[in-house]
Parts: sequence; C-alpha cells; structure tokens
Amino acid sequence: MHPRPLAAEKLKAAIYLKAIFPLMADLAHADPHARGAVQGKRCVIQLEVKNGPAAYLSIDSDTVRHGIGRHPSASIRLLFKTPELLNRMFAGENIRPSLRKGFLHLPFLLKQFPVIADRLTYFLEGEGRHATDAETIKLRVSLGLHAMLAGMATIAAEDPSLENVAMATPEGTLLINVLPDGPFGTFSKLVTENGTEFSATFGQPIQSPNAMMEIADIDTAKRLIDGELNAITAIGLGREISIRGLLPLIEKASLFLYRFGKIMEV
Amino acid sequence: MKPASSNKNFNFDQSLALFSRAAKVIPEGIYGHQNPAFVLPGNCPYFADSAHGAHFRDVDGNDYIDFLCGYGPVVVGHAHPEVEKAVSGLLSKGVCFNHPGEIMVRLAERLTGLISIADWSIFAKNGSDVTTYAVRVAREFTGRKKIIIASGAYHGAHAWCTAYPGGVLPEEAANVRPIRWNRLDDLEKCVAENSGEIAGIVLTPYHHPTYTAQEMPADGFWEGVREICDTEGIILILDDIRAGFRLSIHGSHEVYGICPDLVCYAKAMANGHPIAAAVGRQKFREAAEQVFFAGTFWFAPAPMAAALTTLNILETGNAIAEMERLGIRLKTGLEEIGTAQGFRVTLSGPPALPYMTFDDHPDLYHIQIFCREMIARGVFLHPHHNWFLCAAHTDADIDETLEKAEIAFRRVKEEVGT
Repeated sequence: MHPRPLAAEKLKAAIYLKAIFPLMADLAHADPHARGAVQGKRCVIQLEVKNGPAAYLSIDSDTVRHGIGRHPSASIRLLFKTPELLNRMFAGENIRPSLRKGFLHLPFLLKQFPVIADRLTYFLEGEGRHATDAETIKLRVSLGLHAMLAGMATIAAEDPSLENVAMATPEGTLLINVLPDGPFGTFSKLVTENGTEFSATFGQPIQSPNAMMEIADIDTAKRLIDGELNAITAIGLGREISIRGLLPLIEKASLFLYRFGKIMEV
Repeated sequence: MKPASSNKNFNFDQSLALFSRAAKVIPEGIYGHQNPAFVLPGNCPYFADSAHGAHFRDVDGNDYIDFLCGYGPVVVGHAHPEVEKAVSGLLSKGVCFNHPGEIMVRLAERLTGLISIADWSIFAKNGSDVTTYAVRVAREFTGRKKIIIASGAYHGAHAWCTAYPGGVLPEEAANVRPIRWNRLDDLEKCVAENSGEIAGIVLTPYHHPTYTAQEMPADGFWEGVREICDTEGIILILDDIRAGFRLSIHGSHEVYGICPDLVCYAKAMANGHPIAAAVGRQKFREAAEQVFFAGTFWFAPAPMAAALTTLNILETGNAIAEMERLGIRLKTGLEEIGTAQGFRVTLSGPPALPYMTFDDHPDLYHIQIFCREMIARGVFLHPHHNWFLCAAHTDADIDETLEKAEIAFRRVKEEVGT
C-alpha cells in the first residue's frame, strides 16, 4: 500500500474529529448503551493531532457535547503524533496515543469510552446496519446525516483540492430535511469581515433556509446513507429527493459530499 | 416542490419513465446542462419529441411555446424549411467524407466577409471545441500559460474552463484566474500579479452567468480591457457563443464596441445544426496553424449548409430586429405584470436573450415556482438560465405568455408571498 500524502491524512483526521467524533455525543444521548457508559461521569476528553486538528467531548453526567479545537481544561488529553495515527485509531486499529493528561480517568478511558466507540461502530459499520426496527433505522439515519453535514463543512473549509469550489459556493444555508418528521440539519457558508466560514448544524430549527433538500422518508434517507440510492437519479426524478431554492449552493454542497464519501471509503 | 396547478393537466409520466430507464444505462440519466436537476425536477419535461417554429412537444404530448430554443441554437425557428432543405440537399449526397466539401471554403469566406476582425476561420462542433482552441492559439502566440476569465462565466466543459472539479488536474485550474465581470480594477490587479504570464483574456460580450441577473458592460469597460491587452501583449478572446448572430449578423462585438483578437461562435450559427467556429485576425494565423485541431465529424458539409442558409436568413430578413422587438414586449410585459402583482421583477440582458429575476428574492424560490407554473401552462421558461427568443416567435406567442404569466405570478404570491 502506498502511504497517503500528509495533507490527505491531515484532512481525513480533521473529518474524523469534526464529523465522526461528534456522533459519540449523539449516541450518548440517543443510545441506551452509550448513555449508560457516561452516566454519572464528568470529564473532558481531548483528542488532538500534534500541530494539527483537535476536538473534544465534554461529558457532564448524561449531557455530552462535542467541541472543535482545544478545550482549556481537558481532563483527558490524547495526543497523536501524526494524523495517520489518529485515522488508524478511528478506523479500528489498536493505536495507543500519548496520554498527556488524565491518568486519574484511566478506568473511564479503558472501560466506558470504548463502549461508545463500539456502539458507533455497531451503527455505522456493524450489525446495526442490518437492523430493521424503526428506532435503530432512525438513529442510523440521524448519525449518517450528521456526519454528512459536518463532513461537507470540513471538506469545504479544509480541502485544498476544492478551494475553487469553496470560493465559488454562494453564501447561504442549505437545510437537509428527512420528511415528515425525521432528522434535519444545515450546511452553511458565511462570509464576514474576518473571512469565510463553512459550518454545519444538526437538529437546530432554522427559519429561512436559502436552499432545501427534502428526503421523502426515513427509508429513503437510510438507502441514501447506505449508498443504496443513487442521489442524482433520485433528485432527477423529483420524488424521493426534492431540491429547491438556491441551487448553486446545493450543487456545490453535493461536490463536497461526494468528496467526503470518497475520503471516508479509502 | 409542490406540483403545479394547471387546468391543462400536464403530466410528465413518459419523461419520468424514460429517465428511470436512462438512469440505468447513462451516467446521471441525462448529463450536463440538460440534467433535470438544473431545471425543475418532477415539474418539467425531460425528453423532447418534436419541434416546429417557436414551439415544441415533449414525449408526453405536452406542447410548449419554447423560450429556450435548444439553449440558444434555434434562431430562425425549429425545423426551418429553408435551412432543412439546404441540409437535406447535402445529406442526400453523403454525410461524412475523406475530405472537406467545397462548402467549407464558402462558409469560411462568408464568415470572414461578415465579421470585421475575421481574416480566417476554422470549424468544429461545439462551443467548448473553439474556446479551447482559441486558448491554445493564445498560448502558442504568447508563449504564456495563464488565462483570465470572469467568475461565473461559462466557456464550456473542457478541463481548463469547467467549474466542476471531477477529473480536472490542479495545474489546469491553477492556470485560469477569475476576475469579477466589469471590474477593470480586478483585471489590472490580476494582470499585475501575473505579470508576463497571461496569454489571454476570455470574456463574453456581456455577462450571462446562470442563476443571477445578466450584466451589461459598463461604459469604458471594453476600451479598458483592450488597452490592458495591448499594453501587456495579451490576446483578447471573445466568447460570443451564446449571443453571436442573435444581436448582430456581424457578431456581438459590433454591438458593444469590442475589438477582440479571436472570436468564438457556435449556438445560433446554424439554427441548431452542430457547428462551431473560431475566427481571428491575420497576425494570429501562424499560431493558429501550429495548434493541431481535428475531429472526425468537424468537416461534415450538412451543418455548414445550415450555417450558410441561417446566416443568409438572418442577414436578408428582419429576424434580428424582430427578436429584439418581441423581446422588448416580453420584458416590458412581464415586468409590468409582476409589478402589478406586488413583485419587483427584472428581465436583464439583451431583449432577445433575457433572464428574469425576482429582485427581492435571490434564493430562486420565486422564479422556480413562476417557471413551474408557466411550464404547466405550456410556456417553457427556464428558472436558472437565460431565455432565448427566435425569429419564429410571434406577437400571439408573447400575448399568450403574458396572459399565463398573470396566473403564474398569482400562484407565486399564494405560495410564497411577494
């Protein structure tokens, strides 16, 4: 296997930290097993790549929040010497980063935290993929949509190969919504005096999105996330996925989404 | 998007069924600019059946007044008898030969006679062929790499100019520098930052991007561009593919006072038959001869016959003036009806190639609903691309369009307000 260029590894690490890591917070709220693992715990787990991206999970009993960057008072700090090491850990390899802080939390790190990681694997890649009950399907769609949106924002902000596309993306917010009452979230580009910012939100209602992509139902969303539905055909037919509003925003977002998928399959 | 309300009961069942079949065997089902996602998925025809004059019929049997005209090529009307007679006359003698026909020389003579800056002419099939050729000629002539374009402008689907990154090498994109249209300060800055590296500036005669209002050249813009080109030894390439021969038989540069070095034509040149042309000044001929340019079908005589006939019709009749007159009626009518219904509506660009915007609603929801309602009533208007009038449009077509627009504006108001 050829080693991947450092820039590609760094981008993938950023995606893991900004688009996959937050799913652990989602799980801690929505999945009973994951919830059980964090119940009663108070700590901040920081993952960071040396001279690279960083993110953390802040756990306060049953409230878990994900944040990007370095937390000022992380109780556990795991430092990865290279982005590749972080990527291999997320891919399931047994990687041991440097534990820079948090020896007192070792039991949590060794016992409870892996429960959440295992549950994430279960839903994204394991047996959970084949579950047929409505609750599991909805949770999987939720996780998938959240990862998609955050992944698109990360790619738009950080992928040098799509810099021109990012520049040409119009300012605005795209709402992706699973009908009739499924999960929803946004992908946005905002231009301020300080520069351009790409961001994603999940489950936060929005008044006037500039563009909308509506997925007909949870089953369609599941097929889309599992790669069983050709999105271009579905949009073309206008039934299972409908789009309207600021089309160039949707068009560019779809390029970021495609790239996100390609990076995650490597 | 909600379904359109119409008492005509338009449906697109056959279009949708065909698209489902197409999607199994053709990437994207329908690719490029004709992909339905670019129009109004589920609310527009996907496949055409036939067309005559300024009207077309889709595969479901729905009839439309056509304000897209094949995205521009149809300039004297679909299936124009004179053009088709010239084409069929040649087709009966064979389609594709080992050698060009005499007609190629006649067409080159015709173009060099019509277009003031043209000392030579070369032919291909599509706009992308000739814009890419012109860029290569500019690079050959100057020995430089970089090309300046306007942000949002479309010059084709080839690697140097496509807005889509699939299969494009970073270095191809890196040699193309965007500036804002009408901004001489942008152009000066870009040229200064890339001093001695710019081979050519590729611009359209006026700015016609998708999704937003068209922009006409500001006073002094073209003079400024020419001056910069002369000072810096840069080749000025005019991409007149979209508007060429619709505004003037002598090319759009005559309308806007542009002095280009090379000009590209395609769309309206042959009333829908596949042919494109690049023309240039004598001083670029040697460089042009160094750029190998070939395509199996580029010498086919029938489209050249279509081009000669179309140019004759445009030159001898009042087609261009008629398109402008009817375009002004359409513009005035739609803007007035829109205002009466509480909207600020603008049809920007030349009257024969207008693009309508709801000025208070850049998010496109309003124009999408408006076009959906018009399509459902038999008037084909594209929500995201400029429209085209052709010489076959009539006052009756405009009357009918305006009559239906009143209902469509009302539907927009009901659905999303003013």
